[in-house]
Amino acid sequence: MEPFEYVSVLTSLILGLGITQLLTGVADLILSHKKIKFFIPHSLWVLNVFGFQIQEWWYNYEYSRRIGIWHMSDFFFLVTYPIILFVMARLMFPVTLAGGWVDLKSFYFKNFRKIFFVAVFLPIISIPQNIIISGRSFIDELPKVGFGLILLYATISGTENKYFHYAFSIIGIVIALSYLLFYDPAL
Amino acid sequence: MSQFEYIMVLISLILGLGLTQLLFGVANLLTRWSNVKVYLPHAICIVVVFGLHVQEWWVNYIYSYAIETWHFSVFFSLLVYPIFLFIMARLLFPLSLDAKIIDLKQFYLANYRSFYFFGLLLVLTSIPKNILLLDMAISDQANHALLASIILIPVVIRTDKNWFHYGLSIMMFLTGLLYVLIFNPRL
Repeated sequence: MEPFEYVSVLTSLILGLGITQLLTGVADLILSHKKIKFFIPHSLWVLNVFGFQIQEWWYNYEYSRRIGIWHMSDFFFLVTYPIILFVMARLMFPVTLAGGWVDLKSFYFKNFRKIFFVAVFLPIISIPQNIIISGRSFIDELPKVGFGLILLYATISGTENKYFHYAFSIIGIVIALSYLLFYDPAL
Repeated sequence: MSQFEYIMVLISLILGLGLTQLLFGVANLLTRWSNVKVYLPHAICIVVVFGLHVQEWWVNYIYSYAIETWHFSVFFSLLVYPIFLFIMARLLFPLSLDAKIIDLKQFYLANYRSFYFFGLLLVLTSIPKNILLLDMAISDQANHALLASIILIPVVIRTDKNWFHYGLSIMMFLTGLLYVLIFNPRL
């Protein structure tokens, strides 16, 4: 077993558990759909986090070529991103669906600052990863800087402007879909 | 690590977690056995979804030689099947087993449309997959089209009739059994 294979077992496991959190959450909402009030930005963020998980797992294969000798610091550096995604996935759904009505709009507005605060760490981790390990330039990473700043603004201001939340979640989905449809990278 | 090996890590993980849902669900029902009212069509659905998980994992090996260059779109088209299976597995068990009597007939009748909706998605996603990735002829997909039209019935029609649900679940079970007996595909 090569070092990359060994490392990817744990990173894939954490990503897989994050995906499980999302799928379980969605299935539980379907089971209780009669007493759920859905909210589009919440649903779109669930899709976005799902997309982040899949994209991260896909991108990780590049490290099989980029990293020759694996140090523990490399591993810690790479495993933090899946851990952050797992925490985000966990924060996306109410802890329990027992009881009466579950209003996902009020759940979202109660929790989006926590979710976005955790999400701020995604660009903080991935920008140095891409520059140091993948050899990208800082200019290539500017969209991520913009994404991080918007997240930071929403976290600090706590804005409940619904147009902002609709627009932000829709832009996320559009970018993810464009990546899949137009870029369609090979492994 | 070859590309196929890497791809199969995440797919196997999600299939494994789907199987875990089923086994956990059954084990949880067994621990509350004296309070459980079993309903045969529901039990058959559990067996069928279990079989579909194993079949999907087995069949996926064909992609090790059917696909040379893995693109994100190809990977994503393979990933949706295990995802739908996971959600189906989750939809087969009540969220809470705290009730005095766990009536699985009542639970099944309340949720069978969501369950079969994802079953329909399974069949519908496998048709383009077979044609585009495995170069199968469109005419070979007639059995899938027939199966899709049968599964469409419980999605569209709301009925509590016992004979309908017994017939449907037994038909699905026999389809799976015949597949193994007739084709008995080798790895």
